[in-house]
Amino acid sequence: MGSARHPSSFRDPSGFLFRRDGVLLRQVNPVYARHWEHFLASGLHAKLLERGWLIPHDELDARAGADSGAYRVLRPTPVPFISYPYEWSFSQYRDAALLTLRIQRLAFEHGMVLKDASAYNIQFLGARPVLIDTLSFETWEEGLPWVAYRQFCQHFLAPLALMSYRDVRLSSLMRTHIDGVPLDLACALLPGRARLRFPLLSHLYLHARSQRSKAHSRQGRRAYKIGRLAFAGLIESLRKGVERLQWGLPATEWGDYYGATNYSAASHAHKAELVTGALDAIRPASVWDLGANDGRFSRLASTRGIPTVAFDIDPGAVEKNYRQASAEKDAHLLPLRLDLTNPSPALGWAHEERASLADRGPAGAVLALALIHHLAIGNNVPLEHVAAFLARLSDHLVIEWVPKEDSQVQRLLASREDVFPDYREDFFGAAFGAHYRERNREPIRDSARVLYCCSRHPGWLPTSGATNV
Amino acid sequence: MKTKPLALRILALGALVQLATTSRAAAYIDPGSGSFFVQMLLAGLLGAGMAIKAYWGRIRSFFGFKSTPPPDDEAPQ
Repeated sequence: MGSARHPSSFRDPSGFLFRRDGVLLRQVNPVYARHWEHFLASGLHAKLLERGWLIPHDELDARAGADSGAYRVLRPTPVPFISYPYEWSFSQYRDAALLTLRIQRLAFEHGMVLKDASAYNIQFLGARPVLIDTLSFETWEEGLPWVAYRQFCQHFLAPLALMSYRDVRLSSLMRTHIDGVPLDLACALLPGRARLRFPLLSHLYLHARSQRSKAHSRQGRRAYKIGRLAFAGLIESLRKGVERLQWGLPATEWGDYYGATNYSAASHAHKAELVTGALDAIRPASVWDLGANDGRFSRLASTRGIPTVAFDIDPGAVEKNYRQASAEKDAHLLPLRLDLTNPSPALGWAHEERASLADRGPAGAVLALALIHHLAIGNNVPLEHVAAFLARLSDHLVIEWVPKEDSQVQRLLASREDVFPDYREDFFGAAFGAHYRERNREPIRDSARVLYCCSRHPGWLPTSGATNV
Repeated sequence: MKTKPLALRILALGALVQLATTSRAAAYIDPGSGSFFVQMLLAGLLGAGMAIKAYWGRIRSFFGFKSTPPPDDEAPQ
């Protein structure tokens, strides 16, 4: 019975995550005992659970630890899909930031503080953000400034300000900077008018300048003191700063896709019926909808209680989807931003801190609706390569064939030479047939499109590294 | 223990006004000290803000205005 320590869980001496027999466990080390007992005795833990702000856990016998030195061993409720800040839409990111501040505020009322404010500690259960790092709290040492302030500004305030003031796509800076957007970089990219907001002026600009001026300081952290009221004021100021950041949801590439599409009501309804039939036949444990737009087909899965991730490249579509899922308190639908032609890679120390998209699989089933032409024609990916990649992501596939005569394909070809003689349904069938067996092929009524439901050939091994955290 | 005189805090807050530009940081950054220092710089102002807010609430309730609870205390999501 081996215990594998989670590759991203090494920074905090308070404890660590490890996996045993496929179950994710968290060891609490004796060095954290004082904080842990205060966390429970103060009632903070109970309140966080009551409000749904913290991931629940069961406590196991301490002898179940990864080593003999465990103080406590916890089994947290599994998170269906681990997402990263560079995959979140604007409101999703903002909600994660506000939750962090709410938690900090509640903790402070119980004599504790968040000792880290990493965006990676927030995950989504459906559309609801939740803190997953149960060991993030420490007792507040009277007078000590907020230890997680720098991290909060780099992980939340800076990227959100950039997304709001400059371009929503700048959340991708979180992909290049593992510990958040450096504040000097954020200040260099933000427009001058960002300085007119006091929270941004102080927590980004002044903060960046202070970092620079104190870069070689040898003063210990106890040389700096702030009072209780100032501490509360700091959190309140950050909250105001985050809350006032907005993003206007422009009409982007896909924002009005369904309005502009050539689908008739009848073909749309028939397609939904076919997808539903496929889901009922496959009964997947999870679904990844690739190219989900605003998630209307993803909801066919999520409303059946299947944990569903709705990926789309367009920030506007993902934003719209998240806002709807959040308003509906959808417990099973997670909208995320993803460019399938350049999916999230493995990042961080030893390429293991943040998992790639494929490493977070396999999914129970993949939906690839109205997607193939964007990959094969829009991005010149040969059909064989599309089939091979999708086969890495899931055992089951529901895919829509969009023929060349379809107006959406014609639109893609309008401004370029047609160098795709192999973009034909028979070649499509051969490419996917190398990996999958066809379960069902059904032309979509009132359109030239065809819906395929297929499963991988037996003998295939599921994608390795299905680590979910 | 070092105490920061009020004058120093006021001077430091004056630095806010001078923040017309922020140049890029040197190659090495000590994230701790600068982030602690700026909190101390802001402390007076943020603390005063909270005090005024609390005091303002009391004035409002004295005149019979209902105090609005902060949004953070909302019911579970």
